[in-house]
Amino acid sequence: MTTSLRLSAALALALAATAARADITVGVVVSATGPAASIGIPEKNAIALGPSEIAGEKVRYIVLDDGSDTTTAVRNARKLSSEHQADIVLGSTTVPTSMAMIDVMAETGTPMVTFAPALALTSPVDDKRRWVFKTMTGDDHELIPLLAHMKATGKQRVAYIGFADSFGEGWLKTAEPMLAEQGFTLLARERYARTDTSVIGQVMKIIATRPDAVMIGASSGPAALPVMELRNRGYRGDIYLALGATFGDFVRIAGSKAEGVYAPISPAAVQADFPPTLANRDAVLAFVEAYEKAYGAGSRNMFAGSAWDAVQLLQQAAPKALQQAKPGSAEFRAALRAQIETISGFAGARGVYHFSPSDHAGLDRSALMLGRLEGGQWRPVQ
Amino acid sequence: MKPTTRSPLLAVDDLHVAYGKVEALHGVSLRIDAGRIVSVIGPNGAGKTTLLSALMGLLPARGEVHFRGEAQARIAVEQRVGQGLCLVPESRELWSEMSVEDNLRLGAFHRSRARAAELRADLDEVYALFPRLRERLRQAAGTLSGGERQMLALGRALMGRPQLLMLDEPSLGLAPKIVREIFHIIATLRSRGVSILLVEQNARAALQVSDYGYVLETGRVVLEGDSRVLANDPRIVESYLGLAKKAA
Amino acid sequence: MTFDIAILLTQDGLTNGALYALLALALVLVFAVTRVIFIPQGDFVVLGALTLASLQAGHLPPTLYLLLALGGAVGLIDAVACLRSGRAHAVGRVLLIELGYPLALWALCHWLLPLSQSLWLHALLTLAIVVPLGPSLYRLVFQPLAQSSVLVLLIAAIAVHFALVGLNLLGFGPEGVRTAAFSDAVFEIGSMFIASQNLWIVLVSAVLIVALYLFFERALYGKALLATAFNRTGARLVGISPDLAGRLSFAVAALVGTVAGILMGPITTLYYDSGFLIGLKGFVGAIVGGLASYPLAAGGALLVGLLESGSAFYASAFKEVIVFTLIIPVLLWRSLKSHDRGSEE
Ligand SMILES: Nc1ncnc2c1ncn2[C@@H]1O[C@H](COP(=O)(O)OP(=O)(O)OP(=O)(O)O)[C@@H](O)[C@H]1O
Ligand SMILES: [Mg+2]
Repeated sequence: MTTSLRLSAALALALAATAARADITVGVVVSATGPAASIGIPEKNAIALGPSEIAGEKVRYIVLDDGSDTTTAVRNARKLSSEHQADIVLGSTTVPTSMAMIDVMAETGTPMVTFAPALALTSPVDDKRRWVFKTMTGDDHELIPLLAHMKATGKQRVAYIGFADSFGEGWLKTAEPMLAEQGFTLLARERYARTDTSVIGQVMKIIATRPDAVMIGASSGPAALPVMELRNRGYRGDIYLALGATFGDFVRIAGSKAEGVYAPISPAAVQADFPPTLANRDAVLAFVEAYEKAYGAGSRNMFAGSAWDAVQLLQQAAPKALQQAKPGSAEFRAALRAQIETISGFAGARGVYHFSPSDHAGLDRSALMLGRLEGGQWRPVQ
Repeated sequence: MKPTTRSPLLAVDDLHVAYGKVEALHGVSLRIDAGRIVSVIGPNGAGKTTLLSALMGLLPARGEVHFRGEAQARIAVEQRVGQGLCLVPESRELWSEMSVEDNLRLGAFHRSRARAAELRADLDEVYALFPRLRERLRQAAGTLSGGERQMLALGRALMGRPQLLMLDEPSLGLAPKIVREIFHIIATLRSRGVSILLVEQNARAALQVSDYGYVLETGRVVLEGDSRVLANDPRIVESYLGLAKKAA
Repeated sequence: MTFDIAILLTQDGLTNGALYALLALALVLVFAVTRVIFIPQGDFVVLGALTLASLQAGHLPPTLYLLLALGGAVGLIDAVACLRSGRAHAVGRVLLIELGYPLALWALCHWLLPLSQSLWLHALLTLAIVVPLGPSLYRLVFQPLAQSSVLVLLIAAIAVHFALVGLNLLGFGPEGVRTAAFSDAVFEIGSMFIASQNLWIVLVSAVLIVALYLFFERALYGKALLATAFNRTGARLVGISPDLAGRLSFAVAALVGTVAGILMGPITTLYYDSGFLIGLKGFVGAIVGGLASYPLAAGGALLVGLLESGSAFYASAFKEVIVFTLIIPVLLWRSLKSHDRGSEE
């Protein structure tokens, strides 16, 4: 009897202490190890640059690593809300880990801002997804500058090759209606696996259709395989790649064979003099300055940009939410969620955000620009 | 045969072997002196094959086995082969897919450090003993006749230059003419200094060729003695030789 | 399909098929000798390529540490076994071999790496580092399980595969590698172009296959391996230790995998986890040979390579499906045929 009394007294004290401190608790889940580590680490770096105070309240960051593993991501999400009473959770890095966390977030009523790309994470905005926002561009953002350039340079007949998995199929599924709508003819749809050692068959078939342009729905190092094969087999037309090809090993592996290929790029990732017409120019420059001051010249990248923007969104939403409730409470979390939903026209490092109750994907259509690989560097095409 | 003071080539003391919970040998003791042929006879299921397998290390056993004065308890099959122990099992265990010559050459595997000329000479000796094998040296062992397989098994064993050769029913399923041939060869082997432990159903032939004999029944040695004495023992005559006479 | 394309696809198919054939032969050998379905076969391809790449980049490959760790573990186990069987005098020698070799190799890498950029030297070092991992794995994992059922051995093989993939990720990171080509030359024969790297692959594979054939046909140890595969008891009775045969077969498998990795490195990008699929294609070839016949396995693997490049052209979305469903008619055909082989074993 006495023990349980003492225990409950201690518990009450502990709870009181948490309530009294009233810091804003920001839970962060990133894939800092495992296969997605190269993406998770810059995100973690950007979070480390977040403010220590918002509107006079201290901000406490609790960063957990999910090791690119969905089960760990879920465990981390639970831990953040039950142990640390997180007011908001930022992350995670990949689509599967983020997807896995949604249930916990909806159940505990905690807003979540993911850095992962899939549209399915935030759309449709239903009972669960109303808690989820994202700061990463999707397939549609990628295709907009590519198709615009293809149109402008008079291409009509295009061929496609991409991963035979959800990445490639998702990209193709987004591209097909957009291509049709803009009057392109899709001549070939070829697939290959990330682990394939050869794509000669697919490439020969593509070349036989004599396309004006080839689109490649692939990412990182494996995207190099079809590019190299196309060039080896004498294809001289333009090649358009997915955003995924602008990071990872693509440039290193493809080497000089990839010179002149096109891909969408994020202003937050390239070294260039941006025109004053770029809507989020100031935000990009602010991000780049802060990030490169901490992590060295040339360290800028779009993943850090997305994580940076997530903190920016919190900074926008928190002051008004603080007027409605105290941090650590369900009311504060609900208020935070409602406030993020009202953010519209805010310029971040990744682009301009327009959230609404029916759109939690946020970033507007011009978040990505066209890039061209020149001398091993992605350069914006004006 | 009187026990000699010299330490025997093989001494087995109170050997127990069990398959799972069922014991097949209940404390067998025997000894073989160098240069001797010792036969073990007994009815089907007496445990003769079990005894040889245990001596070779193929089956776990309880009790003492000393080969050339060395305890064998923790020594693996392959090491026993290296020490000069050799078994021609009842099932022969030839490599049917490989040629006759390969089977023979592998018989000398543990002597792979020996000079090529020496191995060649041994091979020729085996061919001299079994001319039929020489005629078929490229043939796959699986295509040999039963008698030829027996010869190959014996030849393979000889290629290892064993000190103690253990033969499990070398006459099994053979025509009388070949049986005589095989027993003739066994006798020749002794003259070359190979000691032999011979397990046989054909008690008459076995006792004729051997110096000493043991009778194994249901896992126990029930009788032992000089082969000539055993051959005249009325119990043996009744239960084994009578039968053997008809069979032969 | 024009003639040119057909030639190109055939060339591509044969190149990959030759590599799969190597793996298929190793799989058949390992299975015959140890009854292990060697899932990590493909991981050795990756280990070879990644190790070579890291040597070419001037780094000490992390595989050296793995070699040292496995060597230490094997040394410890063998030393204990020596003490138990009363051969205390052998302990020193065992430890010297198991630990001395990796340490000596480490020192050699340290010394040679800054001195020479030779591709051949790097390839030799790669072989020296990766191949001994095979026998060590056998000693640590499969030798203690030698009496177990095929299923248990398969589970152990899967566990080893996952362990290797994890260690690859840890040691080499998630980035893909492409090693420097043996030569960039391209030959022109009539109207067709042949990359010399492809020629290298076919040539080296063929040489290795012939070497393996001679090893089994001529060398005593090769015959001992076959003997163990055909009849374990028979082999033991002439003094061939199944443990020795197991280690030897794993060494051959590791050698074949590493060579395949060194050959494959320049024509494709390999990742820490690429091995499984590559090994699986070799496995399909081995299945065609019923996990028993070497020529059929090699033929099956060539077929897999050709089928792969053909289906990449005609129906790329279904390429893997086509390649792996090849197993089904083959199994059907084998099961029909197996009636007259039922009495064996
Ligand atoms: N693998 C086994 N598992 C269980 N019991 C066995 C096994 N092998 C032999 N036995 C039993 O052990 C006993 C002795 O068998 P063993 O083969 O040693 O007889 P044997 O004297 O060689 O007979 P035979 O003259 O017929 O060859 C028999 O009762 C037999 O059923
Ligand atoms: Mg018997």
